[in-house]
Amino acid sequence: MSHQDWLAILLTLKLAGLTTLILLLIATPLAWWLANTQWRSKPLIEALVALPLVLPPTVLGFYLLIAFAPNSPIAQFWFTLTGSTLAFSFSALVIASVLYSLPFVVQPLQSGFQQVPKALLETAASLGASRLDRFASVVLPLCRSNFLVATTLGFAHTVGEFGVVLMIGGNIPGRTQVLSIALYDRVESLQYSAAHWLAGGLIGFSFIVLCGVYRFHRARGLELASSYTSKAQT
Amino acid sequence: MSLLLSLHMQRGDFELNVDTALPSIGITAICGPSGSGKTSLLRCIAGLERAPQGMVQFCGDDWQTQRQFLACEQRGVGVVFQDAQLFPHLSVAGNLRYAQNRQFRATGPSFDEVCEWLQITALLNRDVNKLSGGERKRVAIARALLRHPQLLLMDEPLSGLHDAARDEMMDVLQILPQHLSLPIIYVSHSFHEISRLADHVLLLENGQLIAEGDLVELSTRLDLPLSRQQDAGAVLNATLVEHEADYQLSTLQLASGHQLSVKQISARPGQSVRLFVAARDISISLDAPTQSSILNILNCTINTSDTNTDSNAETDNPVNRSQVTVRLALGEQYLLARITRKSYDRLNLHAGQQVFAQIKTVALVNEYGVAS
Repeated sequence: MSHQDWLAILLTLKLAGLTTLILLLIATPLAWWLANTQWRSKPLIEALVALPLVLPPTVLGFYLLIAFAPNSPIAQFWFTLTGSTLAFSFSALVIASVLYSLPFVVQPLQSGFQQVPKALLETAASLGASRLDRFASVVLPLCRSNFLVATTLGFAHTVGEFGVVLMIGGNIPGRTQVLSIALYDRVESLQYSAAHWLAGGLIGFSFIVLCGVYRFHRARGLELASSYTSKAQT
Repeated sequence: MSLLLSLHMQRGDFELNVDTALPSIGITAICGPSGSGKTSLLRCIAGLERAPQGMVQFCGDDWQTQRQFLACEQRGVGVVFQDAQLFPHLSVAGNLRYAQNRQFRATGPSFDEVCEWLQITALLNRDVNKLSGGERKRVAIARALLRHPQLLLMDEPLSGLHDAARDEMMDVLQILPQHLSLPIIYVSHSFHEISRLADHVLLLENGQLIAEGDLVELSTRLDLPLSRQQDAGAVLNATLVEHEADYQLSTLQLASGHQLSVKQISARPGQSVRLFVAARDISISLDAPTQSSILNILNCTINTSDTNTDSNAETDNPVNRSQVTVRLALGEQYLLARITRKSYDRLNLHAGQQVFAQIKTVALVNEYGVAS
């Protein structure tokens, strides 16, 4: 494998790791709110979050491309904030990945949160646990497998994304060229042996991760979030 | 009187209206049929539910006023829920330590003491999902006690247990007030449980407080639903006079001077005890039966009967159509006797009449007397 391939792998891991971290920070409160709110317009938010599940990635990519163009308000706000442009940057990839992978993290968490019995939280309150304490000491441990599934899906889905990155990334080696794009490049230029390394490696990686998830599930005897594993599109 | 309540809540057809002050010692029972608002009332006291126009004050501390509402976790209440609600991800010891790490105050029983009282020391390392129903309830009670609460709330803690486990649990609960100077509010629909455990009773019906007071007084009031229950009966206070060792009997005396023989008990002479006499265990005779195997025959006066009240018309209870509940005065205390309407008419019973009550069984409820 060439130096460029290694750069693509490293960049992909960096992108997926950072995206997953940001997603967990955003999706946990969002999923908790969705699981508990009585708000009438909740389906609106749920539909918005789920949109990337049904849209072709190029649709999201197209609008993000427009939003990240140098003269757009978002890009200008970003420029005043960070002093760098958004178009064809790694930051743009992270933002796009967060939006695109959001449902894969929110949904398993929301379904887990909904299954935590209210009575257990009331019990925890009666034993002196504050809101945050109840979340940390009751909800988190009971939803462990949901967090595992959410993390895995968020990470794997980001590794596997192609369309959005192709639309907004610009394919700059070391900056925005991720694994899936690098693979596309190799195939285009008929470098099949390099393509095999990348494609085969991706299959092996995904397979091992999914095996780990299913094993954890069986050990815990939980089927809670398994329905979401089928949506992995790595 | 230290728990002041003024709670008004409307929810659909249901309306809760309770204004009262509860004692800060002993066991207070909230009693009523299902749907009467017992659990809602308990949840309002715990801070798990908020009655919009409510006021809750405990020992001078405002828990709820017009302006403020103290969250459950800040009230220092221990709650034992109906189905134990143990944390499934923690062991028995883990559940107990959860409470211990979040103690409301430093003063209170130690971990070992609580485990000993509730007989759960052997269970500590067990998985909570593998406990029996009775074991789960004992762990839940221990957990609530380790919070070191200033008020213990129990919502039907014995529901779902079979009779033997229930009796065993009542033995455990009965001795708790001796170990702890902690007021307990106990929700139950079972008169049997309440007659054994409670000192003070609140009767709820359709969200309304219909009566409140000492159990001894309320148990024999014919205008209240307690006397209409299948297992209705009189709760009596008595004093132990002596033991009749030859026959393994003990003699008890009521305040009116009447004496009763019961199976030997362990109390000492002079000690006060509480008794329960079921209404269906009493028969009425006009003459003193001299040739009877029944030991306890008391001379008493008919006070009233439920033929005189309208309660028959109101209730659909079929018991009341063929039977009459008669209230018999023994000085200041009363007995209830449930006899057939036919006998009632044949003997031509009426208020003020002197009769003899033949008591088949006297159950000892509480050897330690009422904590008050």
